[in-house]
Amino acid sequence: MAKKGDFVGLFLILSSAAAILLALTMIFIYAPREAVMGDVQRIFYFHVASAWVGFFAFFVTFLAGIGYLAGGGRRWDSVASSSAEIGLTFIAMTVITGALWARPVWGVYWTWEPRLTISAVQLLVYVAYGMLRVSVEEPERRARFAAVYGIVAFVTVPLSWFAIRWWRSIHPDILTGGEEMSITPRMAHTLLVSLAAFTLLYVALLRQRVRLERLGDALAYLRSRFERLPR
Amino acid sequence: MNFVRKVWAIVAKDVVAEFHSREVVSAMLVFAVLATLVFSFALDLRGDVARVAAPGILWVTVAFAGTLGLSRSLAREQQSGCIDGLLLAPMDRSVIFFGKAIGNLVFMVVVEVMLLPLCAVLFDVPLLQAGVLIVMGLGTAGYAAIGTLLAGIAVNTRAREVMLPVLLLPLAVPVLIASVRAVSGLLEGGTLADVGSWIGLLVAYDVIVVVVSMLVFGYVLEE
Amino acid sequence: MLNITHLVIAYAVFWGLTFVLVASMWARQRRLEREISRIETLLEKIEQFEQGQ
Repeated sequence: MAKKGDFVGLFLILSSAAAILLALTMIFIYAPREAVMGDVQRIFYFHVASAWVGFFAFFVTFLAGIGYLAGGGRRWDSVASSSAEIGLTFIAMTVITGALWARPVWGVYWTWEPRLTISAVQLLVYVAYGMLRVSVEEPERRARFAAVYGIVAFVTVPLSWFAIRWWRSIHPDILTGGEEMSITPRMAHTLLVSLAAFTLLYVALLRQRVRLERLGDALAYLRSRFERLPR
Repeated sequence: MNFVRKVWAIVAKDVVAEFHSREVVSAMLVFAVLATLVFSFALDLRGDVARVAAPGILWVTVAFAGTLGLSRSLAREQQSGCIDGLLLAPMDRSVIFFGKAIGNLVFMVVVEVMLLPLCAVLFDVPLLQAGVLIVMGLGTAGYAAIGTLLAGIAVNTRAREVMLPVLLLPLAVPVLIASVRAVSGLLEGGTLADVGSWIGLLVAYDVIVVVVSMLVFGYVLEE
Repeated sequence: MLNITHLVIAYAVFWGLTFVLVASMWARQRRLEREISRIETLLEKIEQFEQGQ
């Protein structure tokens, strides 16, 4: 997918692939089998890593929105929308894998566990962001509105986190009460590698997605030139 | 003080206009009452179940009625061309924001003033106490502030008013959770100190949302 | 407690979603590149034609 000569892009793709492979090896071989939950606990590594990327991508959208409003231009808006699209994918992963992890451990697909709930809220925010972008035709306005929404939305996420956390701590579920798993050093290493691998993957994807946006812009420009030709 | 007077002028204009036509508040109120009744039927709210569910029902109703009011109030502004007039006048965008937001807050409070006694009676809960009123005020203020900003955006999209709930509700999660929990705690006999952390969260939300909205509102109006 | 099934499905979801994202980006890129070269050739032809006149 990298164009000829895009060495940085190629490097990112290859290194993130390698990092993911390394992470997978560690997850299934290096990390121990967890005492309480068994092998199903191995979902944890990619689950947390995708949650991290989901949040980080949103942060990037937030920054890019500020950059755009500060006079940054189309470039910043491309980064904002690209990051949001990738973030949406990863947050969806987080929620789905969270549910798949919850089922064998607690018997139900959904518990209103704080971290899972905040991921669901983030998912809804991402979807709202996407719907907003689709709903505005004029590119300058779209970029402006998206930037404003990205900024305001991101700012409410930590507040939602606290609210959900405190809400769940009033009624700790009997279901999720004994949820703490024992973390050994090996698990910590594996988690760190997973986080790094996913971050690398995010950057690689972001770069490709932004290039895609630029292609789209080039096409739009060419089309307009074509239409302006005298018949 | 000039700032306050300008804001007040905008608020007064909106409130007086609404007083004459009453279209926004009446739509909100009718919706709120209907929603409350529908909830009562659908969830079979009687006795203890009603008392436990009351804060939640109240806030869900307020939230949805609020989106109605916010959309309508800004749509009407657009239709009458009023917004262009405001933009031409040499004033800081934040003045317009505060003016619109406070106006929307007033409309929501008017609806709540009538909704609270109704819910107190229907669900048999002591809603008419100082603590609850304070929580309602704080929660509504934050909701109106962020709602005004987002309504400004929503009204300019293809889907128009339908976009507002989609944009607003995920961002209103802190308000909804904190307000419901706080009211709940107060109804169970707690004091304001008992629900202190929820009130703190509401205050934090209000401050943050008002500051951020005020800063970016100008970019929404820019044409 | 083994429950490998859910573990497998979870990882399948990771791969699946990543694949969907990457594949959709790839497909979009193809389509855009094709459209761009089509328009570029058309523009060239028109400019040649106009110069020839």
